[in-house]
Amino acid sequence: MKLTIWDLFRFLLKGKWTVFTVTVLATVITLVLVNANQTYTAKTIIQYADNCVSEGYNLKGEAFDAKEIISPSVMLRVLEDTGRSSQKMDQIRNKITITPIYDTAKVALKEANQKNGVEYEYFPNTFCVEYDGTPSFEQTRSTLNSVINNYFDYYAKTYLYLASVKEIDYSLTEQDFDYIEQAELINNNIKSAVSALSSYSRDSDNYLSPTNGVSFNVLINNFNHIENYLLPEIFEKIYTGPVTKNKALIDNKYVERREEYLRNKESAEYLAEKTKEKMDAYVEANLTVPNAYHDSEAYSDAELGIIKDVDRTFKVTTERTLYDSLFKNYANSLAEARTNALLAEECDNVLKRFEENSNPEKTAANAAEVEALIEECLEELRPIYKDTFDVIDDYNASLVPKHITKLCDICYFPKYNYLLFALVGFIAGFGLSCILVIAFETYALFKKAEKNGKNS
Amino acid sequence: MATFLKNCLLRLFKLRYVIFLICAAIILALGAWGYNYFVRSKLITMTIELNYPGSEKGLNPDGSFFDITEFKSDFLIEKAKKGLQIEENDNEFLKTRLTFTTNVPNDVFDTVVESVENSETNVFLPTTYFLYYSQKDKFSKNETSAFMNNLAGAYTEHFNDKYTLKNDLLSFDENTYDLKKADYLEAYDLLYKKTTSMISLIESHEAKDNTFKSSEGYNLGMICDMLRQFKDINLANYNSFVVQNGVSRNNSLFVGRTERLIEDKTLDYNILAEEANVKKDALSDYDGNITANAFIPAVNEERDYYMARTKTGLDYVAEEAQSAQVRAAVLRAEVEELKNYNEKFSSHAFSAKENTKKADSMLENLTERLTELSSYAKKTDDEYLEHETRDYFKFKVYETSEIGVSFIIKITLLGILILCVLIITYDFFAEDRQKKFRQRERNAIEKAKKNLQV
Repeated sequence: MKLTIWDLFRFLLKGKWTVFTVTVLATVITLVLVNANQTYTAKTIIQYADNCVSEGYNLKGEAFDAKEIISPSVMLRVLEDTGRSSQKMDQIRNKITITPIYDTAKVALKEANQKNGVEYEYFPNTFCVEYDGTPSFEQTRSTLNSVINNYFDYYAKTYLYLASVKEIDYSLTEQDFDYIEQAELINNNIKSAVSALSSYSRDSDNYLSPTNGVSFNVLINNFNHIENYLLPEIFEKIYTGPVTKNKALIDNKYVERREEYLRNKESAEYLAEKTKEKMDAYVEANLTVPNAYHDSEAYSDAELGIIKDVDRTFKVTTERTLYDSLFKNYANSLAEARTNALLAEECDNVLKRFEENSNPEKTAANAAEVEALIEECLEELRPIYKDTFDVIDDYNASLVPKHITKLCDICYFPKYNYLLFALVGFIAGFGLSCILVIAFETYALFKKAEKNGKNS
Repeated sequence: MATFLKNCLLRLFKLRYVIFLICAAIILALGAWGYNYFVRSKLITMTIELNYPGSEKGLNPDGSFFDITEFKSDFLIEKAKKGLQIEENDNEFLKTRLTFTTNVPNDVFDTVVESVENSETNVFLPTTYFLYYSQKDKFSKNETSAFMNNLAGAYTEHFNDKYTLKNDLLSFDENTYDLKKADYLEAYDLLYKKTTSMISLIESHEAKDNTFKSSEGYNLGMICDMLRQFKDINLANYNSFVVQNGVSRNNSLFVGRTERLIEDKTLDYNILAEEANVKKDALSDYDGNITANAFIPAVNEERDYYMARTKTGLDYVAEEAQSAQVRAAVLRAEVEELKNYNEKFSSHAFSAKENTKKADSMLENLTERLTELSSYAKKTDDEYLEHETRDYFKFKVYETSEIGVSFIIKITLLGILILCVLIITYDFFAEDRQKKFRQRERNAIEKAKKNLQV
């Protein structure tokens, strides 16, 4: 018996329904299997804007570590956000890969410098964060999104100098503080808030909070109003009473404070004097060191030579010299001594005010007024602090993108390509079914031929 | 070809096929309608387009990070489902029915990576998002569209509250401050600062769009000028009247308070002035010899180039002295102003009644005028903000009709077309089989005839 190519086509035509059914089944089974095992991978790119990261340090001056993206504190919050608190954090951590993206030009420069024996440091500041997720693309995407958002929060809280002010203790009057102590606490609190807000205002002059439309300057004005009207009235009432719960204690306190200021003054003066001595000694010692103005040949230490041509390959030292540091400390110590002297004088003034003869009736009236004024002051501070914290929260949220940012939105990809696998299933199903049909038909034909041969 | 097509069509016009096709069309139409009614119409898509400056960098208008997942916040879902049948559903459950996607081209990730590798900056953060919601209960009332529209409205409200510019600062009325209780000069201070902050806010908006005009014909520049006039003329007149006549609700309290303030500020001034003086004097202690002996280019033991920045100490201390001096000068001016007040107010033990009456009346007029100006300013600026933020968001909800005639027609036609092809193929093979069967029959008959003849 002889088979031609046309016989094969004839067999296929005969078994067309078998081929069709097997091919369809194979394709469907492949797709079902792929779907059952399908998982998604999500990835994004983040970049640090702070120059220190490119030098290998974080904003605290410690070695930079991008692995903090999957630090436990971040992962704990991710589990909470994604409603998977019962899971172990390592189940997610192990599936996250952080890959640095290198700037090829800088890598080449580093290699060239290293070849020439010159030290050149380069650290990438851009990272690809990849999460090998779950069968749900939505869950994969939202998990990585949560990782990134929580890491940004963590980075801001750990490394950024975020704005903050200290709120006043509203229960001040319930504690056993004297009137002047309460007034001083409020005064110091307001001064510290104004000082902090002024610094933020200098950094971002036109910043307006989107929550309440208030600027730092408006907040400063609100604090200043209390500082300029209510507080002087409180102090005035205290001093003209004079109003105190325990005069002896106040006297002791201000005497002690004055003595402390005087001690600080003497200490600062002593420090200034000694610093000046060091400065003079430093100048004296440097007179004999070889330099551009003194020929090095006259000195035995040839290593300490003079640079004729300044070569950029040398490391440039930009730190302040010791002499300049000494000089700065010297001037600050002198100023500190004067400040302490003035504060000691002020303590004397307070003591004198409390020494003045008091009229018991006026004192009692003033005490009642002081109490009421302090309560009023605290009540007025409450909404101001509320506005302040709203502004600060908004301001802090706007600071983060200036330090760290996403370069690309989260992209997600399926692990298995449906189309590709459908094609593979189709081809495999079609091929196998064709072979099967041909084999079966050929076998049947041989059987038939054999039977015919026997019959004949 | 024409003959072939004609032949194909003729095959379909057999009664049994026509009946089959009509039945199939009815079944297909019913199936398509069911699918459309129960599945397609319960799945809704909304596109969210961000059109404000900074959205291309993935930021909100206030500079914080934009986060699309905020759409799944509990408080937004709570608002969106209010009044609907799905109100009973748990928020967590509804969150699982909401899905986001973005239209990110496949190669964009690689492009961004490449640009980083080539020292370039290429950012791709989408400004269009797709939000899908699929209603779980297919047999209950279709609330997908209502839910999506509510969600869009709630988010817009939240976004405007949290991230866009506000102008609450422009609001002013007689209840803003308790001016009847405040002393006259204190009232001036409050109104002055309020007006200054109002001017500053409107100026910042004017700087962004100086051509804007409200529906009433005011522009922001005009409002600014009106407020400036109020500050420079009305308020200044009131201030000069109060100061020159020493008008206070309680002169002795005013003087006492001012004295306290003078003492406080004088102490601060003295501290700063002393710091400035001490540091200025310290400059002469800087030894000039050091610059010729230490601050020169040299090489240290590690052959590192060693060059300190010269005289930074001198610069630093001089700068500090100047800064202290500037702050001291400001305080000095404040102290002088307070002393001037004290001089004026201490010359009168009590303020004359006619003066306090006049001051009260002036203050009332100022309050009225500022209230009026505030209403113009607020109205104009509200319109400006509305104009500015009108296109910040664009939501488009793609609803699917519950009947879906076009979908039913499409599915039915497609089904009929496929069935026609199958019928023609089947008929072709059936005819072929019949021919072969007849041929075999004829052959068998002929063979039988031949056998009989033999």
